[in-house]
Amino acid sequence: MRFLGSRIAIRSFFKTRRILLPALLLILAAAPILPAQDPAGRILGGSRNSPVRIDVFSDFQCAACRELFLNTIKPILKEYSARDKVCVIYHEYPVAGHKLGLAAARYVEAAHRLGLPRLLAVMESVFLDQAAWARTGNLEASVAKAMPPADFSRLKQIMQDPRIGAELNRHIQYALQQKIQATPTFIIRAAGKEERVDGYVPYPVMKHFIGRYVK
Amino acid sequence: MAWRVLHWACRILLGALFLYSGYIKIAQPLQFSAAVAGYQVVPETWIWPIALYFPWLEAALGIGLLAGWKLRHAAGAAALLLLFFTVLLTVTWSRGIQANCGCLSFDDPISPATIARDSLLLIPALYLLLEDRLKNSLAGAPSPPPSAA
Repeated sequence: MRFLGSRIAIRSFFKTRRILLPALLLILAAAPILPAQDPAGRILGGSRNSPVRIDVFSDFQCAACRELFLNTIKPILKEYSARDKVCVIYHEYPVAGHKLGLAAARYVEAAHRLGLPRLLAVMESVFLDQAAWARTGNLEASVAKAMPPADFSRLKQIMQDPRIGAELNRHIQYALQQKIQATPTFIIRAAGKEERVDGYVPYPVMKHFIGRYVK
Repeated sequence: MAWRVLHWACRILLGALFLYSGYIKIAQPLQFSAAVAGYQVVPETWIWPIALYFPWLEAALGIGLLAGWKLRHAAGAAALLLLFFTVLLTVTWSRGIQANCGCLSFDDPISPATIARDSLLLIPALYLLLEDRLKNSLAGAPSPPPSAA
């Protein structure tokens, strides 16, 4: 009986292997043509299928990044991303020496885990108060006022997660891979074309440009 | 012979620079918009039309200088444009604004070097504009009346 049982087991093993082995080989063969892991970055609006895609590389302690987010990216999110016309992907790239910029990026990465509305609220608050926290160093106050106290407590817990630092590192590595040299830099892609822009571009200009591709 | 060499050197230098300058701006309208915005001299609504049409003017000027069509007019326009750029760069630099020149590349911050470069380019433009008068005055002949220019 014991012998019979082991024979069945061996048979079923070979049967399974007959199915599993080709499947495994197929997966291995397909691996190189499957898309690589998505690059680092947070989608602030739109989707990867939007006709226009903007990848923003930014630092919370940089004044031009503040202008770009508050005056250009925010209206784009409201006007175009809500209708899935423009996909905005944000990449953290704190400039070396901007210690508070890095700290702000950590808060924002943690806020990302609380959902998009919280993320956007924290980004806005941090950028709006940039001059104040850059002077006083009190970044926490700007983050705290962007959400209810219960969420802020959760955010502080999330901040302890070592994966926050790892994710930020992924952002920075991706920026280095893209040879980003200054902030803000954004790469805009539409209709198979791509343009890399260093610096602040006002919303009326972006509106004209996006209008070429999107109604 | 020396005059001809000088004449062609000035035309090729200026023409090629204007053509190249126009080309890079036509190819990167948003990057040029960012450069124009950096000067903080024009309202935001003007930036896109400037970014869209101004590079074509530069390219046309470059072609005009290289082809020699209405050469003196092209040289006059180039001189005026270079003078305008030099004043604009000087004013922006003296205001302490850290802007990108956006002249011949987009990673060229405004500095005394960029101001000097634009000022020096005025020399070939002025030479092409005043070439006949200069030759005549050096030859000792009276310069032609302005209407004949």
